[in-house]
Amino acid sequence: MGASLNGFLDDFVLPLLGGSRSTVRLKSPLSYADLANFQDDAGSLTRDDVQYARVRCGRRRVERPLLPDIDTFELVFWMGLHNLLFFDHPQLGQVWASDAKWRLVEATTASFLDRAQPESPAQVVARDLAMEGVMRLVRVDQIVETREAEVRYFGQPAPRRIGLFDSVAYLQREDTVNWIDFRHSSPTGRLLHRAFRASPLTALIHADRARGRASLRNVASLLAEPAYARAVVYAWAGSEDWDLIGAAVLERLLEDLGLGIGSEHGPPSSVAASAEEPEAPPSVTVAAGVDQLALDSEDTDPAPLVAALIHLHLLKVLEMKTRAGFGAPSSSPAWKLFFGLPLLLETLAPILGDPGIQVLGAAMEARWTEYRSFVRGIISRDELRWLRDTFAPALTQGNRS
Amino acid sequence: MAQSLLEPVAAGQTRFRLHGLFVDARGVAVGREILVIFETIDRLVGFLGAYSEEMSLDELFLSMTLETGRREGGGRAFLLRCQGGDSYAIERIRRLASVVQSTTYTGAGSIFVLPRDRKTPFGFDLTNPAETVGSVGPDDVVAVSETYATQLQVIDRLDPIELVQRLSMRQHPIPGGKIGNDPELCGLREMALVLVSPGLASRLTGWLWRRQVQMAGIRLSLREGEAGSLLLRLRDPPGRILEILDGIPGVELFVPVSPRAAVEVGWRHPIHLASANACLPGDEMYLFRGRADRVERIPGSPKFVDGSYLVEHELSTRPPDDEEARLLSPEISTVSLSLRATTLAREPSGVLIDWEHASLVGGLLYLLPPSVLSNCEFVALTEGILVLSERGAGGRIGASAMIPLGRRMVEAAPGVLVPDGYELWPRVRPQLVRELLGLETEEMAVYPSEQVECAIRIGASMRVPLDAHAVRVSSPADARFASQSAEFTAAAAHQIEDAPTISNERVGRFALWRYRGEG
Repeated sequence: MGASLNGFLDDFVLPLLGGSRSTVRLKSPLSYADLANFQDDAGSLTRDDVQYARVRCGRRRVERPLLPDIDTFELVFWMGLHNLLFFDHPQLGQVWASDAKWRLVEATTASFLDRAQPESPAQVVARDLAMEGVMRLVRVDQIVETREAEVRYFGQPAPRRIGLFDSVAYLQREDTVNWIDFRHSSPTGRLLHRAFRASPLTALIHADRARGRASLRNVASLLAEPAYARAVVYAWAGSEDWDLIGAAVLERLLEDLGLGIGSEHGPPSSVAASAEEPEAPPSVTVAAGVDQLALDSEDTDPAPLVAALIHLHLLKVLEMKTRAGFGAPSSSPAWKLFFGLPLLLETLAPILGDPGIQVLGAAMEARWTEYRSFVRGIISRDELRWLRDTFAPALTQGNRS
Repeated sequence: MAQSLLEPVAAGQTRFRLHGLFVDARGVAVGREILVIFETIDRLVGFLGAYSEEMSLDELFLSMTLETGRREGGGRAFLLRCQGGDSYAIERIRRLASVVQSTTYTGAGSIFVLPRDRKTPFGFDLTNPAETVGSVGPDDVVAVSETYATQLQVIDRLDPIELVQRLSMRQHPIPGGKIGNDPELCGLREMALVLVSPGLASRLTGWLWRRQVQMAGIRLSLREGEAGSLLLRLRDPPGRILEILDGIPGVELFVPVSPRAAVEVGWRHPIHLASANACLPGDEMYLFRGRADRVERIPGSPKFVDGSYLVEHELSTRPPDDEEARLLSPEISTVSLSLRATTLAREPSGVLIDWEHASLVGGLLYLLPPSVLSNCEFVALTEGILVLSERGAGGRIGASAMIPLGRRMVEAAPGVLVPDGYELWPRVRPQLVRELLGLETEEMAVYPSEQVECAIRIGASMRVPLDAHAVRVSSPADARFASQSAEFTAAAAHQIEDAPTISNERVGRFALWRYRGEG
């Protein structure tokens, strides 16, 4: 990795944003000294290829992305992501450095990621560019199998000396893995929470895989934009685990509203459900046990989020794939409450508006009615009453505990 | 010197002693009728034959009467009377009658005079009044020449049509001795009629069928109580076949001379029948047989039946033995299907984009109309990205015509793509191309370039909707096809999603040597 900003852009940022046939190269962690060097050469941030890569990356979400100019905070976020990825480097144990030095590197990285907290919907979109690149990162591992063991070289070519010993029978193969889904080192696991918190849009879209608790404030205001709301809902609908994503988002929203599961004003069946089934859905367990940061939820208007969740139901009814989601139902309270949202449509109509099911035709209306009667069997009567008496007023009146 | 019975007509003379004479347009004295006196019937037939070669007998028959007359002094003659009134018609008949040594007269009623000749260009008139010729009865005819007046008494009338039909055929030698030596095959080049006796019909039709002679036939019963003969109509018969048929006893070849008349080969009718339709009344067909000396009347227009129904088939279910199988499947030299340059313009059905330009496809998607984009498919090949337009787009312009990248591919056969400007050679049937390539129903084949010899097979599952995935194009190394069969593996599908790759570069032992915190 060169110390210059141009080198950093070429080796890391452009491949991360650009995508096709690009390789993100990781050599050494970045420090504050590197940040100072980069700031001295800030003019390189206006490079055309970088701008083009950002726009093209943003168009993966919407046709006209809401992108601000590149600022220092976005650069810092890129540096934080670089260090985050570096902590998964397989040769860190070979570096002669003390634990304190490694803690310094982790603290620096955490600082980078925390500094990059978005302040506006445009910055949310800007963070999503790079973070979405991290979500899509793949790593080609070389696996060498011998009779005794199997050695995996993480994102590195296997040593050529393996082939020097004819007496050693081995088999070499490649395995392509998605970086975000593969096991991570401890520092990387800790830093991922901060990275998701710095990119709430990515965390919202990949709610089933995201770690940490991102701020919903700017995301909710971003969802007021129809293009981004549509992009988010369609991204959810494109996932096989759309119901788990919806449950994770709803659970996070309930906590923001002070109606978290298990809380005083939470849903009635939460205690019983947690007693019967101590295992929460895997997608939402990450919310617990994470160092909590202050949430900027004071100005959050959760209505667009709820509207997006209901729209997700509508999309699935349109696709006629709703039954597939019921193949392995979860008894998680959030999962049940998520399926109770379509029953609140009339109650929330004053603030969410009419989804326009009648416009879609009589057949769609009949399917939607059938779907609502079906989900009525999922949610209990007490939970439905709680949604109408507690959750809906909290949305309409902004009643937060 | 005896007084001449006739005197020349002067120029401009309009009044004549013979009643019925008048002046025609040329100033020639003519009568309403023409009289030709034939001494024998052979001369009469000769006259009719000569006339039929030049003119239509149908017109002549409309006004013609044939009579048998007796001379005043004994002897018989045949009288032919027809409409005159025109010096041209008189001269034509006189010319033809002189050939058969017969005399022509013109006049009206019962008295006729010689027509004009070279010495008397305006014709003749009686020198004395007609009463001086003698007493003339209602059935008498007087033919007056310059020196002599012949009086004939009509004793019988002849039907000209019956006469023509009763005429005997005349032998006519075949040119060159053989039918095959005649370039026109004696008039049988286009069509021949064959009258086959009943006993030969079955074998002859089978023989003709094996010789692949196009034929049709009809059964005729020429005599009551006799088995039906077979009348065959042969189209474009070979000369060799005709020669063989001509030599078979019981088989007669007929030359069609008119739509309703045919004359046996080697024989000739005295009258040119093609100009004598009136001689053949009704809608019957006439076969003039020379050797049998008969005229066969076929009632109504014959309805010929195709020859395939006349042949007695002997179907065999026995499988061919080895000898026959060898003859049925002869070994021929085989050629390979290859590409050849052509100038034929065709609508592109796909476009093959190099991997260098693959990243530009995503941006081009904004240019495509929704209807076009929704019907596009693409396949990732080692050679590049193959974007396929909608198949059977109903004349609409496809995406491959809109994308300004890569090499255009056209359909050489259904589902077989070749580079634009090339075609498959040899030009076999389009469906056969698919069979030769072994393509299933939904499969496609593509020749990525003109240098390749083998096509790449593309299954239906390997084609991916463009609008869903094209923005994320893959690297060529990952979308690899095994041999010539495209295998779109799960790993390749994963790679196609435009995912960046992590490369953990080598880290030195002193990578954190100068690493400092903030401040």
